[in-house]
Amino acid sequence: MTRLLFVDHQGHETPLEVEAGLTLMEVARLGGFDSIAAECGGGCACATCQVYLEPALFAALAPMSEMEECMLELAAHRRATSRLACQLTTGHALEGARIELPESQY
Amino acid sequence: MDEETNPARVVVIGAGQAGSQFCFALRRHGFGGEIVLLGEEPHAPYQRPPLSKAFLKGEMDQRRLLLKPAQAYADSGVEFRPGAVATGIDRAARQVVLASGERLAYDRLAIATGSRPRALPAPGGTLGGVLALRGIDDTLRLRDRLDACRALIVVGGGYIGLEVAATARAKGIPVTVLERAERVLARVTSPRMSAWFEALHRRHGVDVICDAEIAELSGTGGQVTGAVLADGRVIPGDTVLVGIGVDANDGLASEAGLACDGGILVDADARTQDPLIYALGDCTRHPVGPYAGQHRVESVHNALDQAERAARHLLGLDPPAYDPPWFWSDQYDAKLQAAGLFNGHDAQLSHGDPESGRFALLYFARERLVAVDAVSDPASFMAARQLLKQDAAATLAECRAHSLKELLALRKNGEPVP
Ligand SMILES: Cc1cc2nc3c(=O)[nH]c(=O)nc-3n(C[C@H](O)[C@H](O)[C@H](O)COP(=O)(O)OP(=O)(O)OC[C@H]3O[C@@H](n4cnc5c(N)ncnc54)[C@H](O)[C@@H]3O)c2cc1C
Ligand code: FES
Repeated sequence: MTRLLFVDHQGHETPLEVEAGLTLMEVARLGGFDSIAAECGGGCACATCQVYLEPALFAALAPMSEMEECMLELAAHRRATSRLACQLTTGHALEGARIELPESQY
Repeated sequence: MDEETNPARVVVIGAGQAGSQFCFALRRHGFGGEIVLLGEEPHAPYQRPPLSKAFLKGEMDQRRLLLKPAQAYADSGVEFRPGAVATGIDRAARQVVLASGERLAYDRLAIATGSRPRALPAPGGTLGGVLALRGIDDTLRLRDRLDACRALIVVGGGYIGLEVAATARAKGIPVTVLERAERVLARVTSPRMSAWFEALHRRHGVDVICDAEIAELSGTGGQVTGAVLADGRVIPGDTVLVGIGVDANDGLASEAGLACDGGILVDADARTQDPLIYALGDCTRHPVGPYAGQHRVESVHNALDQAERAARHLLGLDPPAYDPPWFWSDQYDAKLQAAGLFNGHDAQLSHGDPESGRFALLYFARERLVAVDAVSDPASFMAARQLLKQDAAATLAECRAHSLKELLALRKNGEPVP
């Protein structure tokens, strides 16, 4: 069973279990971790599901689509390891990952 | 806190995008009283956009539509009552009347009843196979129907109709779109953008017929077999999706004597005339940022924004900063992202090449940027959302000289570029 740790901006940690077929955003949302706004519900249209990954994990994942890259480019609080959680399907690569949240999704 | 800012019980009518957000916003801002969320549908609050997109395609299971896990309501002290229909508001007694006959007292009330699809005002509109699309159950019906569909007629070339058309084409189903106006998307975008979307659908094999007045839907054995147009043309189809717009569910409010005009009239904080009653989401008409007039804005962003504003107002907190309205639509590979309100524009510019499939149309009123429709151009969309927030609106001259992304970078602290 793959486990993840979501960490909000205050440092509160919420461990959640990954389910096959859900995106990282949905794992958070359906797990009741609600610091991810995800206004467009996974449409890659809002950039309010931004998360920070650990550098090693960021590097190990398949690269972003151009759409995701462009959405993030002008998103607030962007960092080098930012991703849109709705664009990441969950799987073994995320085992034990620590997913941090920006101070705000806006 | 006193009763003024800390009422004992808040009742919310309508467990959709706006109603649900409102409950959790109250909690997030520290509200400690009782919250009762009444929902007509049997489902916990869910998102509607996928109903004409991924969920219709069958790419996502029903649970993924939920806005919150089912237990989140109880966990947050929100008494969510599925299948509870409000049938009246007794303002004098401060009670909501339910279909069950129960009377539920409120200290503050929020009306978040959404909107409902307009019925086709033509004979045959109730034949089997004639469907509308608003809720999960509608999509499940349409999805089943599409599995065996040999020809789909979409009545109404709005976003929902066009998204369904695109989904049906992906399944290889022949599709005819019948639009009464002279162009598709006539209510929501400019003629140029309409023409682009019409061409997109034609390229994908959709027969788009504008100026189409439907005389009747024909059928045999109670099942629809096609549409007859006023000019005598007959369009065959075994399934008809009617997407000719929605009407605000403002009946409860108007019966209770609250002012309505194609939606419950509220101010920028989602307040009705009754200081104890808020109204939010698709069921309202309200002022929007710098735009003149009152607007019914049928979008997720609007529902969330009004929910936040109402919650803050109820708790005596400052309103959030203005965030311009925005919307998106997915059709084939094209992603439309629209920001601002384009009504009342008197000039436009295009950035990028529409032929390339990636471009943006910029709309101006008196040389000031008021709205942007971006097609598969997220950079322009994201920049537009920020530019439209700035007090000194971007000018036509600035937008002629720069892309929106450049302009955002050049406009330090929102000051116009000299
Ligand atoms: C198919 C489809 C696709 C869409 N796509 C997009 C999109 O891509 N982007 C976008 O921004 N927006 C989209 N929208 C619009 C968006 O979903 C709505 O603007 C949003 O849901 C409005 O939220 P709401 O809470 O006001 O209304 P709703 O979400 O409709 O919720 C209202 C709820 O109130 C309930 N209710 C009504 N009357 C009563 C009563 N008397 N008692 C109890 N309960 C009652 C209703 O059953 C309903 O569940 C789409 C809508 C549809 C239908
Ligand atoms: S949820 Fe909107 S971009 Fe991810």
